[in-house]
Amino acid sequence: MVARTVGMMLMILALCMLPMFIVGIYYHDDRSTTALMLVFMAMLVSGLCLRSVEKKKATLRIREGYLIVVLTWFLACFCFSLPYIISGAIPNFADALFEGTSGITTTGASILTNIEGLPKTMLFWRAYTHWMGGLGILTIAIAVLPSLGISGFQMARAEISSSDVNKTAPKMTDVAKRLYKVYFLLTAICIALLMAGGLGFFDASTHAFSAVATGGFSPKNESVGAFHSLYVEVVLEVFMVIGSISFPVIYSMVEKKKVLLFLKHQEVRFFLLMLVGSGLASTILLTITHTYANFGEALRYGSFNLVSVMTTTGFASNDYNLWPPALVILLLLISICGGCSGSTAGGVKAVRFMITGNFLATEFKKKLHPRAVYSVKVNNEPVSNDTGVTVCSYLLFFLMIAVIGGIILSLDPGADLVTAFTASLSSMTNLGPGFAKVGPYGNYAFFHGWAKLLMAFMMVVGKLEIFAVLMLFRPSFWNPDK
Amino acid sequence: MRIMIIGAGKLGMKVAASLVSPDNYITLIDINPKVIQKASNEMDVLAIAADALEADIYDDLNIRQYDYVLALMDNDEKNLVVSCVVKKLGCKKVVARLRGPEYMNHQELMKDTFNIDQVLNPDMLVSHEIFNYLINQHKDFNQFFTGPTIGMLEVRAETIKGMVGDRVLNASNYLENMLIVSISRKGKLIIPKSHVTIEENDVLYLLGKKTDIAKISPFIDTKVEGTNIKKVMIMGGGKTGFYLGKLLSDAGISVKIIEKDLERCEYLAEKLSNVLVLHGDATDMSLLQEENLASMDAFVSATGYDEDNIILALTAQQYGVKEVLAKTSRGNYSLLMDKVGVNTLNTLEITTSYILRLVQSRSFVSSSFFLQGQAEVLEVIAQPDMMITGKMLKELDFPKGVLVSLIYRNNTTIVPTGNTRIQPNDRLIFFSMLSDVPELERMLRATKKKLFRV
Repeated sequence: MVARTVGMMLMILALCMLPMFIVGIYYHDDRSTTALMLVFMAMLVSGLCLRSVEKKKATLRIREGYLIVVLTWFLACFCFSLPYIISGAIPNFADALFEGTSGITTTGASILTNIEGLPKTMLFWRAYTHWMGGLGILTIAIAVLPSLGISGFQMARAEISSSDVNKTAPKMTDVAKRLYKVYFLLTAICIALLMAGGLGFFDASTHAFSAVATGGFSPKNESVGAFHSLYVEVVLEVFMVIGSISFPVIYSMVEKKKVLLFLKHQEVRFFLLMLVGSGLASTILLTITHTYANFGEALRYGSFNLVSVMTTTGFASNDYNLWPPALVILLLLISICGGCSGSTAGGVKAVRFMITGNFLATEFKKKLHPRAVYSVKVNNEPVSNDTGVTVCSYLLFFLMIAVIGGIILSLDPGADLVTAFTASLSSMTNLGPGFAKVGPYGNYAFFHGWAKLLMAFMMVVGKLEIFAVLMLFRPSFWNPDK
Repeated sequence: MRIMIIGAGKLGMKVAASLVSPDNYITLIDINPKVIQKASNEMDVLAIAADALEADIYDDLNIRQYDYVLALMDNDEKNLVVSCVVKKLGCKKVVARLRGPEYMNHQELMKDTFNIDQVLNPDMLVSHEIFNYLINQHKDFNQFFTGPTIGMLEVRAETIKGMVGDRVLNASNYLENMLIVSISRKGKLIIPKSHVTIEENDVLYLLGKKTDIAKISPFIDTKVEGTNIKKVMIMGGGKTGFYLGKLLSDAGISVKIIEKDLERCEYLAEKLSNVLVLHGDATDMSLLQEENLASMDAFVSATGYDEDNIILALTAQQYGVKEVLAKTSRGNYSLLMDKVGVNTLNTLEITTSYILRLVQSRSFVSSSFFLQGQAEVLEVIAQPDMMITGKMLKELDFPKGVLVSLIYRNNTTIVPTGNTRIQPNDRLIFFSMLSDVPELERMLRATKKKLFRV
C-alpha cells in the first residue's frame, strides 16, 4: 500500500506542475519548459510504475502513514529541484536540492547571489513551489482523493502543522478541500491587491504565492525592498499575517460571515498579541536608538521585518543585521514561536507556546498549593497532561536539533558562530534568512555542499514537525514487534 | 447523506463503521474523550467529545443539514430528550434507541409526544428473531420471501423423498430449477458446498421462481402445522429475556426464566403472568436439573455476558437439549462457536442490519429479510453504474459469507458460476451472513472506477 500511495502522490504532484508549462510557453523559455516537461514525465511514469507494483488496496496503518508522508516529501524535494539542474539555472546538485527543498518547505533560504539572473520561468517555479508546499503537499492529494478515507487522516496527522489535527468536517477530504478553498481565495485577493498597487502580474503573483504560503522567495535581488512602495509592503504584511492564522478559523469566518470571529480563538488572539506587542517594542527601540530617521520609518521597516520573521516568511525590506542587538534577539525568539497551528507558517506554533506557558504557570501554583487540582485550558478545551508532555518534549526536541545542527554547521570554515546557529534555527523554523552572513541580504552560497544538504534535511524535519521524519530513524519503527 | 450518531458505545461504533462510505457523512458524539479518540483514529468520521444534552453543539454542527440522527446512548430518557431536542432544531429524521418495556407498550404515544420518527429496540429485535427462529424451525414447510419474481422455500430435508443422504450436488434431481442457498443444521446456518451431504433434520432454504415453487409445493407433505416446541428455558431475565418470555408465553409455549436478582424476579413475575420465574444462579447445576433442563425443547441463554451465555449454551447442549441459542453482542467468539456448534445470535449485527435498512435508501435492494437472525437474503437489481455490473463473479472479491445464489435475467433464471457476467438490470439474489452485510452493502454501493482511486 505504501508504494501504491506514494505513486499516486507523485502523479498528483506531477499534475500540479501543469500551470508551469503555460508560464514557460508564455516567456518562450524553451530550456526551462523542456526541463519541467522532462521532470513532469519522469514523475508521472515513475508514479504509474509504483502504483502498478502494488495492486491490492488496503487501509493504511499509522506507521505506514508516516512512512508515506516522509517518503513523499523527500521525493518531492528531489523531483522539484531537478528542473533547476536540467535547465542549467543552478547546475550544482547540492545547490539545486537546497533551493528546491527551501522552496517546497516554504523556507525561502536561497543560495543565489544574483536572483534576477535566473530565467523568469525558473523564478516563477521557485515561488510556485512555495505555494504548493504551503499547506502541505499531501493535503493536496487528500483534497483530490476522497477514496483515501481514514488513510488520509493518518497522513494528514503526520503532515498538517498542528499539535493535534482537529477535524471540522466528517470527511478528511472535505477538511482538506476547505483549507484549499481558503488558500485559493487568499492568493487570488493578494494578487489582485498587489496588481492594483501597480505591480505586473509576474511580480504580483510570485510575491503573493510567497506571502500567503509564508515562504520568502522573491524574484528581486533586494526582495520586497526593491519596490520602495509602502502600499506593497502593507499588503504583503497583511497577507503574511493572514497566512499564519489557522485556516479552519478563516474558513469559519468566511462561512459564518463574521469577520471578528478570529478574536474568539485563543491561539489566534495570542499570536496577534505577541505580534503587536513585539512590533510596538521594536518600533520604539528603533526610534530611540535612531536606527531610522523618524518614527514613521521605524514603524514601516520595523513592523514589516518583524511580521516577516514571526510568520517565518523571510521577506526583507531592509537589512535587520544593522538593528540593535536586543532586537536581533527578540527577532530570534519570535521566529521560534512562528504562526498558528493549521496555517502555512513554520516555527513551533503559537499553541505550543501557550500550552507550555500554561503548564509552567500551573507548576508554580502547584508549588504553593500542593493538593490543588488545576485544569489547563486552551481554546476553551482542557489540555490533558499527556498532551502537555508531548508539547513540552516537542519544544525541547526542536531546540535541541537546532543547537546540534548549529554545532555541525559551525564546522564549515565559511560560517561564523552566529551565522551557523541562526542558519540552523532558520532551517528548522522554515524562516529562510538568518543573521550575520545569512542575513536578509546575504545568502547560503558560501556553505559547503554537505552543509547545504544538512540544512535541506533540517527544513523537511522542521516542516513535518520533527517526529514524523525522525521516527524513521528509530529501529523500532522498522521492527513493529519491538 | 449526513448522519449523526449520538453515543459511541458498542452499537454506535458498529453502526458508524457500517455506515462510513463515500456518500455518507458521519458525525459521532460521545461524552467520553477516549472513545472519541479511538473512533477518529479508526474511521473517517467527525468525532466530537461532548455532552449530547448540551444543545449548543448542534448549532455549531449545523444540525439542519443532517438527514438522520441516531440516538444510541445507553439511557432511554437521555435518548428521548436528545432526539426531541435535535428534531426541534431542524434535523430531518430521528431514531431513538429505547429499551424499556414501559415505553414499548405505548410506542406510538412516545413517537408522537417526542416527535421521533423511529424507535429502535435492540432487545425486542433480537427477541423477535429468536422467537421466529424457534417457532419456524420445526415447521416442515414455510414459504416466504415474497420478492416480485423469486420466492424462497424453507423445508425440512425429510419431506422431500430421497433427499436425505444425497449430496447437494445432486439436488437438481429432486428439485427442478431450485437452488439450495443455505442449510440450517443444528441451528447453525451453513453455505452448502456441492459435496456436502444432506442429513436428517436439516432445514433447507430453497430459492426459485415462484412458478417453480408453486409446482413443487403439492409434493411436499404439509400435514404438520404449528410448532413442536413446547417448553423453553431462558437464562437471564434481562430485557431480552423479558421480551422473549412474553412472546413465547403469548404463543402458548411454557416458559421458565431463571434470574439471579431477586428484585428483578419479582418484577418479571408481576409483569409476565404465564411465565415461571425462578430465582437462582444460572450456573447452579442442581437447580437446572431440578427444573428438568434435559426435557426442554429449547434453551436460550440471554444474560448480559457473552461468555456466560456461551458456556451455559454448551452446558445445555451437553444435557441433550436440541435447540440451544446463545445471545452475544461481540463477534469475538463466532469462529469458536462455529466449531463447537452452538447457535449464536448477535444483537449488534441484527440491530446494525436493521439500522442499515432503515437509514440507507437502499434503492437497489428491492426486498430483503433475515434468516434465523444469522443471515440476510437480498434481492438486488444491478444498475449500469454499479461497480459490480459488467464483471464476472470470479473477478469480484465478495466476502466469505456472501453468495450470489441466483440471477434472474429476461424471465430466465440463471444459476451463476464464476464465469457468469453480471449485466445491467439483472435481479441478483444475495445470501449474506449478517456480519458480512455491511461489506456487501459497500460493494453494491460502489460505483464504476473513477480516474483516480487509491
